[in-house]
Amino acid sequence: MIKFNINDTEVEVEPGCTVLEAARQYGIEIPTLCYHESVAPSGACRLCMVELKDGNWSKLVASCIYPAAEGINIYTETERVHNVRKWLFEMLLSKCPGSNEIKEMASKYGVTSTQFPIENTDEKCMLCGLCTRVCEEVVGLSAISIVDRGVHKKIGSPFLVPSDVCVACGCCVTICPTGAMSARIDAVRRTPDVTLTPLAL
Amino acid sequence: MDHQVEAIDEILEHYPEEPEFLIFLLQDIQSAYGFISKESMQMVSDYTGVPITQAYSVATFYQSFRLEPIGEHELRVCLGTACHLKGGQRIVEELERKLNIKAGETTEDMMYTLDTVNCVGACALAPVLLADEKYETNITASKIKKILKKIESK
Amino acid sequence: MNEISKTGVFLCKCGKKIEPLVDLPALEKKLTAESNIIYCETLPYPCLTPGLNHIISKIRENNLNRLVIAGCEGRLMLKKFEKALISEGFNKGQIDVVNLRDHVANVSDITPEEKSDKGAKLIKAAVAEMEVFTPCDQETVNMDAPPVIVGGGIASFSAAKELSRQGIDSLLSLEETDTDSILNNVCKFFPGERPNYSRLEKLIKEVKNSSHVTIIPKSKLSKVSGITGIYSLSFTVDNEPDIQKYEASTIITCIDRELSAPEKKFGYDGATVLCQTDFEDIVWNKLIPKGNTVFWINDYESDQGKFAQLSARSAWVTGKHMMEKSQDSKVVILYNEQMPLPLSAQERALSRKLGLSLISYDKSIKPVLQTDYINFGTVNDRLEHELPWDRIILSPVHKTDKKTIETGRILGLVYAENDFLNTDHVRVRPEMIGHKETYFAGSAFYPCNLETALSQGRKAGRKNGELVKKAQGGKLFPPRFVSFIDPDKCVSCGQCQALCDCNAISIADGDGAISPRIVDPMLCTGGGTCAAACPYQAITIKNNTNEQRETRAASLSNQMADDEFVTFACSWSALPAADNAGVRNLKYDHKGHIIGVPCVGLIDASVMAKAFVEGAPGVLIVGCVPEDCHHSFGVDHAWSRINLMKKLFSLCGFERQRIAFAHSDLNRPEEFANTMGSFSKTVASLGPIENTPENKAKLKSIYRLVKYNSRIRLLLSAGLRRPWETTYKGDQEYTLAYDREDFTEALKEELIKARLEEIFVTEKRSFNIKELKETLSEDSLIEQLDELDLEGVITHSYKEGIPFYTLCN
Repeated sequence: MIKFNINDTEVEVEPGCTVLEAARQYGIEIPTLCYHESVAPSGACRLCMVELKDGNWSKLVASCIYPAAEGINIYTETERVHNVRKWLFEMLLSKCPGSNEIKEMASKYGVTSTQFPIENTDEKCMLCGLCTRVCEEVVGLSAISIVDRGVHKKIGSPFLVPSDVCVACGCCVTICPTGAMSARIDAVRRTPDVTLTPLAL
Repeated sequence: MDHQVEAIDEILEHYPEEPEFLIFLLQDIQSAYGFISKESMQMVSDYTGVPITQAYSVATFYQSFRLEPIGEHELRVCLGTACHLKGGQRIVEELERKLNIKAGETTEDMMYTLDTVNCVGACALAPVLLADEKYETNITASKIKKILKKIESK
Repeated sequence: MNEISKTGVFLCKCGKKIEPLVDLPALEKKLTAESNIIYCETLPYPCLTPGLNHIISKIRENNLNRLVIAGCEGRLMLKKFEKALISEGFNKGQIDVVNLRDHVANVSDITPEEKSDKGAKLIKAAVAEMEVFTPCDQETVNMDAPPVIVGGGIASFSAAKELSRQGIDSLLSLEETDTDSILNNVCKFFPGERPNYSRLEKLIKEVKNSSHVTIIPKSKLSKVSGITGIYSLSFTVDNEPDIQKYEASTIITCIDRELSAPEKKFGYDGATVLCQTDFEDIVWNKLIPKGNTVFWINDYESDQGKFAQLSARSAWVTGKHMMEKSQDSKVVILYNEQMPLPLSAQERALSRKLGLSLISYDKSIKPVLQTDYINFGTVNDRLEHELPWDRIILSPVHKTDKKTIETGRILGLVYAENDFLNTDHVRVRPEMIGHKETYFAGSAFYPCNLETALSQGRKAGRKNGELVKKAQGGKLFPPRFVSFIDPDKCVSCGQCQALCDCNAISIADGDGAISPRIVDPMLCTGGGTCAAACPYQAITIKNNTNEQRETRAASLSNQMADDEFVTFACSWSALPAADNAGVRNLKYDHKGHIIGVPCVGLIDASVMAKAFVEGAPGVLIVGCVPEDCHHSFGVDHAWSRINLMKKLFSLCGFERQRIAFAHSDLNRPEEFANTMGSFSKTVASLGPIENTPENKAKLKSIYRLVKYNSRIRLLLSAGLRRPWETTYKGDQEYTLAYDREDFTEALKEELIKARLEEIFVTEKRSFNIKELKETLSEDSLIEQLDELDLEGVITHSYKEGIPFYTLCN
């Protein structure tokens, strides 16, 4: 078992756990958006950042992927952590102002407006990649992926036409933390192919 | 160009049927055909065993892969630091007006494709336009007219 | 395997998402008191590493072999649990996830205590199902026989080569084996491919010389039977009367459609107005004709626009050859403006260099042929132009020919006039995606040129090779939920085969007298309507039996309050909608309790009846929108079974609205919420069915009827929508007449019989006919009594000349 400290309290977990898993086991809250229990963590949104202190020196780590290690000191509510969360929420509010879930979470952490310019007031997708991961890992189909690069990145199916491979199971809609997939699913799924006509001879 | 373009099958046969050769294959097809068609991407995906979604993701990630056929002549305007300072953007706009397309697009008659690129390494001669493989330097609006005329007369 | 089930239940706090909203300590207390729950504990997060490790330790401590996790969406989480617990022997579906969060915690404003009550009902029902669940042994698919390649399409060679490359032996059925003949015939299927012939020749020679390939020369397929892994194919060889039989593990079908000549309306005469297929022979084997040759790509005009690019490409290859080799030949390619020209930049530059014109014409002005000139319009200026011509080459016509249809019929494929051959195969599971590409290649299946056809063959070879290798390593398993037909119970009525939309049911090889049906587990989607339809209950869905469904429904129904109802939600529409409603925190009526099913078509009428017998005031079944069903017509079939229940309710004096059908879409959770709210109002206004002995007897009779009465089950199945029917049941022409005269009458008769049987079973004494008539308020019973007598259910004796009937022992 690995013993380490979160907020000066000792916690104990088996090897193979991440800091986030340990925190959750002990009821310590850390906000997340791109994390879901059913798929592997990716550390994309950085909301789960916590401060790891070692004497006078400290660093921020993403708790969803940082492995629990013997004797480390993790703090989840320091000024530095709060600052990071504030900036992240402001950036999220500017990138996806259309998402109510992000707005609610942001206001819970004290952020209700953003200093960054808002490009698209309807945008909900934060490109966390949960939909692509669930389609690949849980469903096994890999029907959607992240296409393009930089500011043009978006979630789509090959050639941006309804996917040949999607079975319309809706797992991506359920896992989406911001409600964005719900708007996009109709561009990806096909109605099941039912070309059944009698054998003619 | 007189050479017979290699059939996709022949290109595929140069590599083993493994996922790690995805990008090599895409590069070879890009240089042979100028773009990666839907059919050829499907064939590469089948050959290497990489799901088509991931092949598409890779192809859209890299700028050097095109998914639309390009025109017969590629016009690339450099927008690196020196060229930018020397008015490279205006050259782009002039070409956009002349050809009636936006940067990144191809003319309807499939003659020209217009692109912007980052630094071609001829900064002292800025602004620079690459017409196919030829470096056209110290470009001005009137020079553009001449260059286009030269290409068309060939 | 009949092990005793030992079920553990783990409740999830899910951070703050379940805990304060549901009174978990109270829930845990309630569940621990249940005798069939061996162990119950609340965990912060059962799904994270600490939680999983803890569960494993409790499994070992208590020897648990079944688990119910009350957490969030099973659709997302089940795989993780199964993966983590496989080491403990939980690999056959012994884990169920109840969505405590999205079906209970988030979706209403009732008190935490009330929510824990609701959660308890759902969990107890899940545990009840776990008790009767007997996991089936995992079978493997055997592929000892070689794969066989049939159809004679050109892709056969690339498929055979690919299999050889993987070191796998294959059988190759070819009608023509002479390399030169094969090459000469290619242009009948793929014109304009001459430059590729040398590579094709190399491929054919390689395959013929390969030690892994056994060629069956001059063979034509005549019959196929069997299931994946064990097929038996019959061929006629060299037109001789004797049939040759071969065993194969998989069948790769490569068929190319022979192209036909264009219609007369385009002026085709085979002399000066030719087709690409007959022109090709002239250009490549004889003299290149002089003068003006116009290739008119007329695919849009002959209603086959999707082949235009293929025609244009082959025209260009031929035209380029002509202009390269002959100074006196001038070629023009005239194509419809709708078609993007399939030539690369270099190819266009080359055309210009050679003087080969590429002209696009206005799609709204159809080109017209006259002597010496072809007339067309150009798009930009709308001006009409003319081209001089000495010969016109039209596009070949792509149409499914007789030979292709015949081979398709033998293999059980379907096709639409002029369209491609297709397999019936529904796409429901990840491993089913790519089914068509795994087993079918060639121009009979997709629009393709030679290169793409060969690529399809190679892909099919690769995928089949992977399957064979997996099978040989003992690692090829059929899916967990598949139909299984008990050959001892099957009477060969064929209903299941007629209803199956996955092409998975065929006639087992036998000696012809009685030929039971057999399911191909690799093709079965687990839709389950076959099992629900079988008049003799010979079909079960492995690991998802009707008994499981009935037990869960019964347990839940038993716990329903007077205004609560049981809801069956299909996993493609209603269940995700319910999950999404929870994710979005939509609030709706809490009186409905959800049981998830793979498809509503799987719900046997007996399950619906059982729910009412056990006290459910109402039953709601929510499936996909019609025509969107993933199992083709599960929705329609469920409708018919619900309709049956409504009719029986009418006959028994119960309100028909107690059982209802609804539709939903996974992306419209607010509609699902409304559905639940509306039905709840209906149930509230009706109140429960009064718990009198008479009502109980009626409900039990209904259960007895829909479950065991073969006549009604057969009549019902015969009326269910077949996969090839194109309209929703209500549109069928004779539905109303059939309903009034045949079905309803039969139902009345059989209901009386069921009610009689119920009386005898419950009362266990003798009755005379007068008593029975009074009890049932029916005037005419004698036929039913006689039938029951003949069947040996009851027996009769005389007392003072009056017949008395008693139950047989």
